[in-house]
Amino acid sequence: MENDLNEIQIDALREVGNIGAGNAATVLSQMLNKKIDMTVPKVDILPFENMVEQMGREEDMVTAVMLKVFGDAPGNILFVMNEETAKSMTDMLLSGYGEVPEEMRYSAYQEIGNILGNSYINAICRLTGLSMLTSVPAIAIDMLGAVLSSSFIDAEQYSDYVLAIDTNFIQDGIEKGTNFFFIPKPGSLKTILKNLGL
Amino acid sequence: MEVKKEIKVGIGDLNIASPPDRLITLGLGSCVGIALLDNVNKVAGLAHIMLPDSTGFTNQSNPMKFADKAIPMLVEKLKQNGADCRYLKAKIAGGASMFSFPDKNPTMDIGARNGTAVKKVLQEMKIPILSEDLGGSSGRTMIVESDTMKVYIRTVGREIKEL
Repeated sequence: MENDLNEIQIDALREVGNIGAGNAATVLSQMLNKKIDMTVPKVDILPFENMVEQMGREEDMVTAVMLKVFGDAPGNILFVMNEETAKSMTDMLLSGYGEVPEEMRYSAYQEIGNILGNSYINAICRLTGLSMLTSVPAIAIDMLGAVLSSSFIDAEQYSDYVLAIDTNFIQDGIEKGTNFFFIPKPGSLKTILKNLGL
Repeated sequence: MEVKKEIKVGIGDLNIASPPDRLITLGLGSCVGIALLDNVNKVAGLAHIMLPDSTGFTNQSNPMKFADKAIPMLVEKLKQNGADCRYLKAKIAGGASMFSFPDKNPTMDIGARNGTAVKKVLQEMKIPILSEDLGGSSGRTMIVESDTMKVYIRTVGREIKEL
C-alpha cells in the first residue's frame, strides 16, 4: 500500500511538492503582478472526512479547477479556491475590464489552474526525469465535499485513507483560501520515489 | 417535546432512523445516495456509495463503499429494526460528473456507472424506485425525514426540493 511511506520518502515527496509549488507560485506572482509565496507542502494521508475538515465544511461553496495528469506518474491536479479568493484573483487578473461576465471569470479560473498545474508538473518532470502531461482544465463551482470526493475517486483512490500533496499560497503574509493538490493514482508516488533513488 | 436528531451518513457509510430523527449525507458528487423507506413501519435508511461494484477489489475493509454490498447491508439493518422488505421503496440521487472534460469517455464516467449499478441492485432485490435525481454536474446533499418519509435534495444556488 501507499500508506506505508517512511519518513525519508515523505520528506522527499514534500520536497517534490515544494519544487513544483515553488514554480507554480512564481508563475502566479508574474501573472497577478503580486508577491505570492507558498506554505511548505504537506503530504496528507488522511481519512477522507478529515481531508474535507482541514479545508472547511462539506457544503462550502468552492471554485475548483482540475487537470488530469497522464504519463509515468498519473493522477489529478486540483486547485481549490474559496469564493472570496477566487473572485479577488480574477479581479486582479482582469483588472482594467469594467463589467466582467461570468463566463470570462470561468475562463480565467481555468487558465490560472492550467498554468499552475503545468508549471508544477513540469518542475516534477525536470526533477525526476519522468514524462508527464496534463489534460485541458475543467472547472466546478460547487460543494467542497462533492468536488473533493469526485477528484479522489477519479484518481482511483478508493481506500479508507486518501493521499495528496497539498500546498497553500500566501499573499502579503496572509494565507489565501486556496489549496493546491496533487492527487496521485495508486503507484505514482512509488514511481516518483524510485526515480529519485529512494 | 421530542428532540429531532440529525444522523450524519459519511462517504462509504450507511445508517437508519426512526421518527422523529433525520438522516443526512452531505456533498454527493459522483457518489450515489440511496434512501430506503418503509412507510408502514416508519423506518428509513440511507447509504452513500462511492463505487458500483466490489468485484475485483481485494481490499474490502469497508464493503459499504460498494453499491452491490451496501444496499443488501442496509436492507438487513432495516429488517433488524422492524422494516418489512415488502414495503421498502427507494429514492436515489447523485452520480454527477462534477468536472466536464471535453474528451469525456463514457466508460470512465464513475457517476453514471454508480447510478446504473444502484438501479440494477435495487431491481434485483425487487425494491421499486419512487424517484431519482441522477447525473448532471451538481453536487447534492440528501436529507431523509423518517417521520414524514420525505426525501429532500439541496444543491448549490437552487431551492431545496423534494425528491
